[in-house]
Amino acid sequence: MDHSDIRRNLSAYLDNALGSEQKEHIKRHLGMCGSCREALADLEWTVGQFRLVPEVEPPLWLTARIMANLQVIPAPAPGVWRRLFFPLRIKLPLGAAAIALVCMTGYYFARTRTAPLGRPTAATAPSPGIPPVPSGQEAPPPLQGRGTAPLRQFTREELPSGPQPAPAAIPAPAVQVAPSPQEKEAPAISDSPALPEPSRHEPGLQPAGEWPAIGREKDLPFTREAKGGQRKAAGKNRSYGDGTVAAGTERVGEADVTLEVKNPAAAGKSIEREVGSVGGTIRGDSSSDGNHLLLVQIDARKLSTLLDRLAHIGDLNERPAISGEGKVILSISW
Amino acid sequence: MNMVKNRHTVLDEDADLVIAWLQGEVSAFEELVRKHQKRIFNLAYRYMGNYEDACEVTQEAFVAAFRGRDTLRGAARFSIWLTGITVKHSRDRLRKTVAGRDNRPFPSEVQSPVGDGGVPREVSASSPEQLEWHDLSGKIQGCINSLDADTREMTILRDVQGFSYDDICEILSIREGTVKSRLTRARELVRDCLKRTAGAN
Repeated sequence: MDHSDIRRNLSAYLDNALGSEQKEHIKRHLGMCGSCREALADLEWTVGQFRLVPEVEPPLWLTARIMANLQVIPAPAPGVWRRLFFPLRIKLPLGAAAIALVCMTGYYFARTRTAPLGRPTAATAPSPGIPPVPSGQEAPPPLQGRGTAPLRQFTREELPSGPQPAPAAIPAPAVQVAPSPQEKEAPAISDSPALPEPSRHEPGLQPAGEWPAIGREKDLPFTREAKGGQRKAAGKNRSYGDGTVAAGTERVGEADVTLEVKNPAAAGKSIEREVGSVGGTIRGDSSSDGNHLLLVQIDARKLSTLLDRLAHIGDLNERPAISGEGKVILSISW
Repeated sequence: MNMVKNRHTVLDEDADLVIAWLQGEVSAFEELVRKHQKRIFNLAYRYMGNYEDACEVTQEAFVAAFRGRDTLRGAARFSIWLTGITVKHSRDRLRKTVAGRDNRPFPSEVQSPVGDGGVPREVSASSPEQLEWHDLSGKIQGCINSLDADTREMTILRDVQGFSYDDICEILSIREGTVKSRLTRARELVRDCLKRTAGAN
């Protein structure tokens, strides 16, 4: 550290703002340099002059004036740059909200645009078996059940026969089935006075697997079982079916038989077993007040065999005779 | 006494008032005004060299501080932050006024502490003590007025207000080496000025 460096650092030396090494070096230099000691003394005198100057008192009204200015002077409007680019603590939540909104909007559009390509919904798909309502002709309102939702009443003629096709794939035509002699002789299956005349073209018909929303399940004429898509008759309403008949099948008739058994509770399984043994299909069952009903779909050629086997279980009060080929809907009561 | 303080270890004695103010209590800011206005006013007074400008700068500084609360970071001390605002406003005002008017000789402008009702009055130099005060203040202020902005604020902050080197670094946003060099130069200029004034008398 030469002489000029010593002079340059005298101010900091005076303020004790140097490191210990520099400080010791200057101290040694001052011990042997009179001019530098004189320069340091001049600096001390100069700094001391400032300390002699008293402080000036501000006006008494200054505080009140400042506080008044805070309320009078409007805050300056933020600049364009600040308005465009908010502080980060505001930008982050805004950006997150915008991203969420974009994602939700995209998801909504994706769903609404892909829906027509997939399985038709109940609101858009035409119901199989229902002819279009001519324009200008108002469709009759659907039947109302005890609940608030429109209730579909199914008739015996709409009982499905054979495997149930997907409604969108096979728009099955309604099959006109001539009433069989047994049906004329047999007591009416539908003993509900509120049940209207069977109608093949009822509005509000739902395709298989698409049921209208109903508030209470007990309002349903049929409750849908979890497996097999079978429907169980509820109460005394014995209307059934979904109005579709598989193409290529022909229903030839319907019949009712009553079986007198000693043990009605145990007879049910025996009857079902016999139905299965002849290749029949159970389409529904019902029991109330000790009376049991089983709806069976069976090949007309097997009907006689089934009746024979049922005769071993109990006494048949009648023996319907149906000839021809096709399916027979047999109501077995016991 | 070690003047180089570690600013991170210095607790802000105004912390409670500042927190209350930032939470919306205007009365807390008024308390801060009362507490700091004299120091801020003297800083502006030494910087500007006259009483009226010092009043204006002090008001501007406090109003700017009130509105610029977002720039007060958690680690900053209120007094340091407020001093920086005052220096900035003083520098801006000095730049405007220097071009608009001649700097009159300081002794004709120097004023004593305020009189009754807070109205500043001219010093009636009737006693030897008052004459001495008037003479000394005039000389020092005249020498400060002769400095440029960099050396002027360095002299005021260090030798008049007594800020540490670290505080000055924070107030002016400069490095310590710059503080040392500017302060050395400022003291040499003031020393020469005072010697010239004493020699003239």
